[in-house]
Amino acid sequence: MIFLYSTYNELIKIALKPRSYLGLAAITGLVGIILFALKADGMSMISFVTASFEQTLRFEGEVLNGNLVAFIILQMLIVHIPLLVALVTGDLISGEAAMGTLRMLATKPISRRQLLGSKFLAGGIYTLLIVIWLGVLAVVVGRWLFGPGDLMVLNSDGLVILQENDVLWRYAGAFCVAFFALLTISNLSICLSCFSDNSIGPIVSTMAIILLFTIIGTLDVPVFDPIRPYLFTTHMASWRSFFEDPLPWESIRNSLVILTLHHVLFVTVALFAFNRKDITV
Amino acid sequence: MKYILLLLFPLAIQAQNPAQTFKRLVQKFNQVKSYEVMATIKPQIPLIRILPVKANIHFSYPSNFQVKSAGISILPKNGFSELPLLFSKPDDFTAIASGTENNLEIITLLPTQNDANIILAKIWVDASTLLVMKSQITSRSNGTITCEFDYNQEKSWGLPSHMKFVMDVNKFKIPKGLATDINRTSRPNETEGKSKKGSIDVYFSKYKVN
Repeated sequence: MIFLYSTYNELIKIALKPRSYLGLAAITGLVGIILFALKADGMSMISFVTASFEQTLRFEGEVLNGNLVAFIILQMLIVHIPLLVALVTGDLISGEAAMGTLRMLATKPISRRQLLGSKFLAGGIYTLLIVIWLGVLAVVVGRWLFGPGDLMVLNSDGLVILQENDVLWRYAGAFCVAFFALLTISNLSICLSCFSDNSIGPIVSTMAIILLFTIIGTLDVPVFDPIRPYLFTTHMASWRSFFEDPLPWESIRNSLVILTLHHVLFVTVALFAFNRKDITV
Repeated sequence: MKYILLLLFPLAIQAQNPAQTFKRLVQKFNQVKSYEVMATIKPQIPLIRILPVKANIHFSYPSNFQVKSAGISILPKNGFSELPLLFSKPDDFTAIASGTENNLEIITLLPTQNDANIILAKIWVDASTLLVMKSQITSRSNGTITCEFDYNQEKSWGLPSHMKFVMDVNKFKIPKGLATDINRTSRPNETEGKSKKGSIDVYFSKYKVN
């Protein structure tokens, strides 16, 4: 019970911090800009993608529709969401250490393990809120403004055109996987937060790790081939697999396993560090 | 002189026949001023994955096609309209006999104008029923598109029950920057997607000829 109260307290603390709304505001602003740009000149963007096909073929029907708009928004924003998540979750422990409230918190009848667990849970709930808000803006508002329709997705194997009635469950699956991937960022930043006594350090460290891993993942150098499949950033985009046909279940399962291993690693390291953290200074 | 004329006589017949066949085809084509038809479009194109789509097609003379589909469908660019366009302007082409194949008369149509969009057209015609069984149209804008025709109930109007477009897809390229798949951990097989031909099958049903 005390764990739930502690989680509730953590959520209140997150809700009272202005920076927690930065993420939601940033997503709202960015989605608004993308929606405006696509409404104003979306077809030219699409024709850039389909240009080589349109020399021979003609696409009939509404290519620019709510489903495509939602996919474009997801593709554009999911890269930036980790920063917005880390901005809040990276501060959960180090922020309290910096303010000196961690010491006071540790005097309460709650074990350090439970305290840390409630912070992980609160961070996860915040991450879920961010993903839900992104989903509402991308899918609901996108479909409201542009209308439903078949989804045309470009991936490295070519164009995949998914029928309208086959799209919504894919979005649901994609958002679940995206949340699971972002939860890795949340856990990583909380883990790094255990080692720091200031807010900036874990946030910047999280972004630095994401940047480093992303660069290693995208560099087409054979020397990185053995480690690439084990980097969590490699699996951050596995939500896209839900828009392939047939669905690559094996690849999705593999991504979930790798991400789960990262979750376990970050939580274990955080527990180890937090249990030994000197909060008297 | 008499022998020379006798030798040239078969050539004269051959030169006259394709023009006559073409003229009769045009007359048959001109019978239909407009029609509506339900179509099922099944593309099989390398680099594109799409399920069959149902569409409603409306034709009005000479070469206006309006395709309305519930979702996204893929058709050859000008694929439907090129043959009607060819038949609607018979004076713009010179018909030349190019032999026979499986009892079908092959007629090559050459444009009379140098700047015409259609550079060369070849049609395989069943002279007995006056039906175009196959066409191969090379145009400046679309390259070469081959189309095979099957006929069923509406053969008297020259309206097909099935059309199979075969096209060159060498030019298809995926913009790399947009398609980067960062969770792809293996390099794409270079031999993948090397099939050079794509096809689109269109099945027609429920013709409403006006």
